[in-house]
Amino acid sequence: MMSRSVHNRTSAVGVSTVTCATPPGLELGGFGARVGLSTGTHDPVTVRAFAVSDGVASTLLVVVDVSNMSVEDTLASRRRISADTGVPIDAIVIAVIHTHSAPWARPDRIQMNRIHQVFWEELNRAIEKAAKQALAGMVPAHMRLGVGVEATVARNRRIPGGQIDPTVSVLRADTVGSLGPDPFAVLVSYACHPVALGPQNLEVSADYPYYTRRVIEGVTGATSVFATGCSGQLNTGHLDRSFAEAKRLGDTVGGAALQTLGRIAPPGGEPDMAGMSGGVAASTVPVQLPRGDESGSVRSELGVVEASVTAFGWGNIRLVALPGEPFLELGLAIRDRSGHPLCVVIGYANGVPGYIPHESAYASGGYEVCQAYRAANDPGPFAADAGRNLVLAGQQALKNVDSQLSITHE
Amino acid sequence: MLTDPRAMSAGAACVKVPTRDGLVMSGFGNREGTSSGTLDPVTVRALAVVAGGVGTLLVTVDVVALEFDDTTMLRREIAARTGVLEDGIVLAATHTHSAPAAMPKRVTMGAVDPEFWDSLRHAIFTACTEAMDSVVPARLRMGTGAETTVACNRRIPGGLIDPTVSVIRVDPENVADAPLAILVSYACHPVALGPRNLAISGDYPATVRTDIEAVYPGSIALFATGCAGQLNTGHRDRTVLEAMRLGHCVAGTALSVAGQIAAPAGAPLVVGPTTDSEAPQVAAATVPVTLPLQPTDVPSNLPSVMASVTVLRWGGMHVVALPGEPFCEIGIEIREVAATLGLTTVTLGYANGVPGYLPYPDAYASGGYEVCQAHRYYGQPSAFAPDASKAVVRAAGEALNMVRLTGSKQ
Repeated sequence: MMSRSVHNRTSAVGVSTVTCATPPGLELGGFGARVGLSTGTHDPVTVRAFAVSDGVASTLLVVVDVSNMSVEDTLASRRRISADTGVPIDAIVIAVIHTHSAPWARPDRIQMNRIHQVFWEELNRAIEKAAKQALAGMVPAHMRLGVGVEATVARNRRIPGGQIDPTVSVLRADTVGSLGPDPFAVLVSYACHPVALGPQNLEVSADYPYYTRRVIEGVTGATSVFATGCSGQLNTGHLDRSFAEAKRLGDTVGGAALQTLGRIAPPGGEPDMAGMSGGVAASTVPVQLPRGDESGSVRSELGVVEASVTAFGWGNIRLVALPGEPFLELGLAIRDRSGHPLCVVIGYANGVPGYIPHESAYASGGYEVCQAYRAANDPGPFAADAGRNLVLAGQQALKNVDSQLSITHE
Repeated sequence: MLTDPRAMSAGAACVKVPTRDGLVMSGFGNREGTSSGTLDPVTVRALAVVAGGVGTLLVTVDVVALEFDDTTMLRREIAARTGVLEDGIVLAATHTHSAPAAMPKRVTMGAVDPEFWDSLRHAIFTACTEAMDSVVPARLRMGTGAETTVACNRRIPGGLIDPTVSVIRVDPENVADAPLAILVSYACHPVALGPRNLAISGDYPATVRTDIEAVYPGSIALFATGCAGQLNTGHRDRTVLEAMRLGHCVAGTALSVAGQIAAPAGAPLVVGPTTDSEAPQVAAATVPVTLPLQPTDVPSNLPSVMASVTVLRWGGMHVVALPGEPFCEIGIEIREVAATLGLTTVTLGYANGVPGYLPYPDAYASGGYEVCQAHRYYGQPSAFAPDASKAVVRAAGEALNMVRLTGSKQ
């Protein structure tokens, strides 16, 4: 294999937003307790894509404003995108933000009416369109990553006052040579279920992330992509399930993101120290998620879900994308032991087959361990080994990315 | 005005002051040339808070400084026009160094254009009457955040700063997500733009306000500079873009806080109206203070300078408005002492007259610009003596006591 000199490669970033029509009459996904079809649209379902390339390798992160997509459907979308664009499947992530106020995007789980069928087809086209547009719109760019803190939005719904991940990760991309304070693309990640809007809401919305993105876009003019972190047991606390509350929470996270956005781009700060001089790499590692009983033990007769974990390397920055609804401890285990100070771990990526609890959760049972799988008609919860496998796969994917990038250092 | 002493009402207004090219700008002794172009207009912003027949007005003015005598006359005129007593009116300069001179008696700080001065006075009157005329029943909430990277201690590298971002949000009663005003205070000289800039600008506070108003359309954002005597923006890159970046950092913090303090479960540091008191919810006190100058070799007929300290109490929050350019230790000391008495305060500088720097007593030993040089720019025979800051702290304590015990100095 030819050695490549990554230090001299120009990096490029592209971003896009594609909107999907959501006529009334759609079945909204996320809450079992919801009654009735959608009555309108507060903010439209969008698909946002973030493409990064070093001229040789490219990665694509696509984020969809729905609650859930299956491993199979995301794989099918990734295949189509790959065939159309040449970006390898292993370098494509399709994540959902997990809003509970968007139409179901699980044709395997609901009986789709005609309107829903049209939506589903349009959503799939939007995913491909967003991916292509982001790739086509790539411009030479610097990337910087930093973290802020927002400790009041997410709550641990299993343990009152329990652990949350208050990190607001902010990745900004600035056009090379641009003198502006404002980036053209901003990726924000925060770990909290987008459930400020409850089951009574019948208007389509991206929930609080809609407002978070709007803060960034309104203030800076950038296109903003929101990716939900590992928030299996983290929610918005259900203080007041209204759009006003969704806005308050979204603005609060948006404020922390805006502050961080400014802080990570001081004049004279060398963007490449946090950015792109190391080239682009991707690795997707298969992961087995065994089902088990409610104590967390594997029950082989209940089957195994085959999913995957993807890591992207953008210079010194790492993004790890986990499937399902990982408990926050799993994300922290990967991030804090990664050896990379600039590492973001997101969940809900390349399929959401269910909650993936941390091993510590089984003793106390609860919704994510004992109930959620029943609502989804799954044979059992994921076993504790699923969480362990997820962490190992994340670490393996990071290692693969590191070695791809370090090999090319020669 | 409402008769129930517990019911607070508030209103806000923003009035632009017309400027033209060719105005003498004030703030830098080494600036050459007159104003050319406008980045953002000079504005006067007024926040009126009233209850039980007592009115208060906090007015921010986008200039480097106003004269005590002028603010006294302006407050008298505002009182005549609005019915708010002079003691309840604060005219605070934001201290932007990119605005026209506004101290007619201090030739050293730049010749004041009579037309601008006239427009400025009228804008102040208009903003005050509009704010008073627009009062509606309102809820005030206050909280604080921290921004540690914008302000720098210019005397001691890495030395003390006051990272507090104080936020008071004012919402019309029974409206969840549309504040009518958001007041932000942060202690840092607005000098992101240097002496070479000739465009009229509010410096970084202008971006703070624009960002907040973008997130809360229809609201009026006010920025009041804290005790920033020795705190500046670090002069990393004296460009408009850097002013915007710094503004984003402070605005982001403020937006986070604004969201946090509006939590349905109640996260604000302090609220108005308070529920445990029969005392009027709004009170004000102004305490005169004599600021002694340091002795000079040359006999002077100006041994001391008259100023005043004003405290506005809105429910459980206290706005402590100090004259001059107080060192950050002064604001911190007042806040900390007040906190031991259970009083929540926000400490502003540059209020009701800016006759010069107010160094903290321990700064004199090391001399420096604020202690040894700045008085020349202010046209004074010498700097203020160490007792000046002590007198200001004492007066603040007295004013706090007055609003606390008697409600109002009437």
